[in-house]
Amino acid sequence: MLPFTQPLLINILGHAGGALIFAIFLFLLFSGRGWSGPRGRYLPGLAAGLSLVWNLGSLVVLVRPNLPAVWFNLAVAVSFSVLSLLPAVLLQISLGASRPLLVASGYSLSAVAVGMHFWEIHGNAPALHQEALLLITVGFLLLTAIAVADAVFRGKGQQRQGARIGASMCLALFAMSFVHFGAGHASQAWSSELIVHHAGIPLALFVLLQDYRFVLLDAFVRFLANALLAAVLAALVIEAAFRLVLVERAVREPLPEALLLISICLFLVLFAWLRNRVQEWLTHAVFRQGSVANLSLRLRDCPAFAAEEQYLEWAASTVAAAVKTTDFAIVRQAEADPGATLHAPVMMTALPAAVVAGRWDWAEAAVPIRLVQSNSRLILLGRRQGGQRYLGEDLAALAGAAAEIAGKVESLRQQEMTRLVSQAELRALQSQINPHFLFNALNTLYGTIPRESSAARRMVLNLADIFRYFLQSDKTFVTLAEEMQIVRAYLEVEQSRLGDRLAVEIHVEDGALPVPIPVLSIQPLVENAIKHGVAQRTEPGFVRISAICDQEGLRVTVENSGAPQGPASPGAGVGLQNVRRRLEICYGPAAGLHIAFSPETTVVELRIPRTGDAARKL
Amino acid sequence: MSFPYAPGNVCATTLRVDIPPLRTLIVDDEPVARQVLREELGSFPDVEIVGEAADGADALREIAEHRPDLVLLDLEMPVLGGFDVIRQLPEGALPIVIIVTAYDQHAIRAFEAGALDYLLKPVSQERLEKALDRARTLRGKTREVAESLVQLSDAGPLAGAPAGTPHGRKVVGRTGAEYYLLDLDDVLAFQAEREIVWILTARQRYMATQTLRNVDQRLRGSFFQRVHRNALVNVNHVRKMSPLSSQRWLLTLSNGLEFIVSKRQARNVRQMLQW
Repeated sequence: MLPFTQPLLINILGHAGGALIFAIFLFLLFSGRGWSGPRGRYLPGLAAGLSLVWNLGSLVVLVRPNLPAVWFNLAVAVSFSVLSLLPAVLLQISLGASRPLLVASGYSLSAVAVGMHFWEIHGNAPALHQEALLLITVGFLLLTAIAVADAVFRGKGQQRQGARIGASMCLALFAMSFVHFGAGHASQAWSSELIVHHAGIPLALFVLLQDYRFVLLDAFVRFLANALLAAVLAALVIEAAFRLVLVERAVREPLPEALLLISICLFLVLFAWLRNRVQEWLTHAVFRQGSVANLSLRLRDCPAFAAEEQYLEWAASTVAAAVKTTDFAIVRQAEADPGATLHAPVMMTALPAAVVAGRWDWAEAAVPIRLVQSNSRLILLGRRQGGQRYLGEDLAALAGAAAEIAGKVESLRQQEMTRLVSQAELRALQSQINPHFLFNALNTLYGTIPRESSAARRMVLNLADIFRYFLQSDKTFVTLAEEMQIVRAYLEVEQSRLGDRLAVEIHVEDGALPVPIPVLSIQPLVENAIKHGVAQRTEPGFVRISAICDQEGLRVTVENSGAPQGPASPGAGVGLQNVRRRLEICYGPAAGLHIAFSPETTVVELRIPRTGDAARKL
Repeated sequence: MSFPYAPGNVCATTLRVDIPPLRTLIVDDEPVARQVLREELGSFPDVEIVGEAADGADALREIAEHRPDLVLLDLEMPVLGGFDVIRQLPEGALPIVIIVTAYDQHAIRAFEAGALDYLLKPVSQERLEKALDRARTLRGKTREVAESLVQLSDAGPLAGAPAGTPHGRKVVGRTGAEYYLLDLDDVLAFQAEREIVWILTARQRYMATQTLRNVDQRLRGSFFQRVHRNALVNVNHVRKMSPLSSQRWLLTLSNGLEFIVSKRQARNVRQMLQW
């Protein structure tokens, strides 16, 4: 059975723990990483140092009672002196520079006590240690009471006041724990005074840390919590093992051995689980920290934004929510960081004070969003809820988020460019075929051609008619007469181009004129005929068009001189394909486009049945 | 801008020497377009160009001053377009209007439906001649001219007015031999009296040129509401509505005129007035 009930063991554990804690604290304090600035290191350092020396001294006294009397007495005196000085330092930390008189009286009190402790080495009068401790206890209780009363009555600086009162109360408790030294160590372990005594360690820590300039505070507290949890669990397990006499029996019997192994495993699992719980609780309840961990992921999963500014606003608010601050701003990097030297998130202290002063005093951290083009931004983040500082890991997570934001902004810019370019292209395209532009231009052309050049004027009129016909997008069917009007205009234009090379014959029965046909079903045939039969030949050619309406329906033939060169490909032209497909859709198999070749001519025949849907559709 | 009458073919004029010339106004914002029309019109001896206007406001001034028989009116003009000119015609002016447009598909469709004449730019001699033929036949037929103007004012887009409200729309009214273009806003009611349909305005009453049924159809969805078999009322002029016996109502208009709302129409009228 472990001797947990021995006061000596408890005291040794307590002082060893205290020494360890203050050593870590001192290391972090002066390692240069944990602090946001050099200011304010001195007093916490002193207090932590004193606490360390006190714990070490007590440890020496407890562990090595056989030291030579001189050394032993010196150790006792140093330990007690340090203990007596500590409340004065803690008082100064908690009061700051506001009450110099109180602080001074605290130090005088401590000085008297220290004098008394050292006097005892010489005078060998054991009562002096007790007197000194009593003096400290009573004196500092008084001073603490004054400080609390002062804080309550002054009432200004509400936020600091609560912390100050808390610190003072701790100080009072700490001072009270000194009482036990008067009576020497109690014979009973876990006596109430022992608990009060060792409570001094965390209480002193609280006073030290209320200054809150400690960036690695959370790491420190997490470490403490882990260590404490491990110690408590280990103690419980060892205690249980000894209670159940598992260890002795395990040597002899396999079952208890297995049980021991299983319980150790279960203990480890339990520890891991508990540890995670405790850490989570610390994260949410104690540090009130937003989770910065999956910030990049959240930023990636953003709603759709058209404008860069909107996205930046959203991203900044997301970041601010993640680090739990209500104050944030997006500023141009050039404004806050004239040299554009920032590449990674930093504390505001890294920025030139002259730029920050007055405008962004509230900000604590700056996150640069580096963009390829100029116009980089800074997201400024204000004070975090719960007073938590921006820790190293937060800054790293913010750097990831900043990269994510910058990437998204770049892609938004890219998208916008693409959109603008396609808009521009579309505009250009539309202006090319803007009918108002086209017909007004043709009208102007018509007007500027002298009346005497009637052929030229006629050509402009024909072109206007043809374009107007092409542009009428709302008609599916027209009468043959309408289509033939355009075909004539088209042929006239082509004739003035080709001159004598093109001979045209048109024969349309009067009965065929009102027959409805799909719009632009004959013009492409004529265009094709000219292209293949006339334009590509040097000798004169012809185009003959005839339209007959009989019992079966309408038959339009377009005949041109010359057979196609190369392998005959019936209906190869895109224009013909288009006509054929539309005939199919409108009339089914009864209608059609047939091409016949002879050595001299090519004939395209278009048939439209008499009774079709066409008449109804018109 | 006023240009002297350019004498054309003298031989042709001898045939119609007793007919007064067709006094014509050219309205177009493009100088070349005006020039084209001027040149083409020059070959018609019975056409006298009384002026040219480069915008809508100019056109309204010229119409008020010269009272032309014919206006060749471009639709696409800055500020005051062709349709605005038609809607704001000076009182008493009833010119024959031929619309000229480069590519106003909406207007063209409307004209095709209403069988009104219009010219497409560039205007060829043949088509101009056709249009002039029609203008000659219309001349002197004030009623037809007025009806065509109403059709034109209906065809244009109703700029600045919410859909369904016929602001700027017109209706033809007659007193004796005189025809008038009346603003629908000024019309209080249409009332049928046997064969005659009366158009009631605050000052006067006119005879309508159409049946009450036709008027009702044309004005469907506007602020005119059928209150009775024989009456259409402008709801914007209704001042009072009081119940009568057997679910009928009595409407009082702004000029004190009273109409009985039939049982059949009572619900529609109340809906329209949101009472």
